[in-house]
Amino acid sequence: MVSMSISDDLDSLREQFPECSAIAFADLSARMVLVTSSRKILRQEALDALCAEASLLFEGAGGTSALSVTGDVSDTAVVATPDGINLFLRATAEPADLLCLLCSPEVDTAGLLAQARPSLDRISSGEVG
Amino acid sequence: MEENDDIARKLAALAATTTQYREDGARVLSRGVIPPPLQALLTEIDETVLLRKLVFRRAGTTLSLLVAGRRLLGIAETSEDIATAETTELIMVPLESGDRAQLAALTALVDRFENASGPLTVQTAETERPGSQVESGLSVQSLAQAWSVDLNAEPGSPLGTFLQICGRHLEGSLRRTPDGKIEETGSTAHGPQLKTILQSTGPALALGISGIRRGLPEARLMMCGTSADGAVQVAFAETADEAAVLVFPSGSIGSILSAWSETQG
Repeated sequence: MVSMSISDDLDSLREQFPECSAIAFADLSARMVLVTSSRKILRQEALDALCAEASLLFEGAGGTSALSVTGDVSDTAVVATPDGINLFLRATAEPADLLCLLCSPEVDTAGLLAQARPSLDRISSGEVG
Repeated sequence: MEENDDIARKLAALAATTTQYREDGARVLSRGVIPPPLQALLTEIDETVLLRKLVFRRAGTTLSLLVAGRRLLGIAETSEDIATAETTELIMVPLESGDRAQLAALTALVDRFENASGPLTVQTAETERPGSQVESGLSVQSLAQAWSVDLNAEPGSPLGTFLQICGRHLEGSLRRTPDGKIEETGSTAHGPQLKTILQSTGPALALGISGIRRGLPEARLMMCGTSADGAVQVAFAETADEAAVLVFPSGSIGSILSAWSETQG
């Protein structure tokens, strides 16, 4: 059996969605990107900004969401502009494990989310490493 | 001097345009909704003076038209998904005003092209004139009439159009219009909380994000909140002069984001 690394898993996911230019696996508690898969080299400032953005979305107001009718924080967060869509997923079992996906507006979001969630859970559970 | 001013104005206008290009060089005419694809297609014909082949695409669907003198001269080719026996007979045949059968086949073809989904792009290439007639072709005005397209239609606001498209996916929404009015649609179950998001926590979050990401566009859509059982998501969207809060089932995230991409360009 061929073992898959986190990097292979992210590369494979990104290759299925050409509109997704970069994927980063991060530790939200440490605000640190651990692995990236990207068409272009991402500068450290860009990675730090991604973590800061995710932190604000998921932990912004003392653990309650700024955008919730009950204060509950979702395990999926999005910042979309006319230029692109940043998707952030937190692992179901380990909320500090985070996947950031940088996409162009044309991306098939539903398809990408359906593929990205199992990928994150595989990485988070240690199934790939 | 006046001539120089005129040139300077035109150069400034060209510099201010935000035309988007794909990696293959195709120009994006419509994200899918704004402007309406047929209006964009006709405008492109109306702006084409020299003989050109205009290759229009929506995802995998292609419609290549021969255009000159702001008139549609003929159809160069189409992708198989919109081709029929009638349209195949029209390929590279000069189109002429007054030929009702031709116009009906062309209109049916354009209807199928319009029903394809995704952004509308165009690529331009030099080509040869179909047939030998000099005065052949259909004017943009006659095509607009046949296809029921209002060439002068003003688009609605991007945020209003976005909410309209999201319509069937929404459980409820609140919108602050440019004149400050609050419009409510759908469920009123969480009215006070949605109002707080619209007026306070949503804009604060947007401000926080723009503090992290320099040059964040004024049009932005954010989501990160859910209901206790995770079944419902909340999104906050704002443009330069409008804002809205949307409540929708978690399974509809993809549809909401597609609607956003189609209406923000």
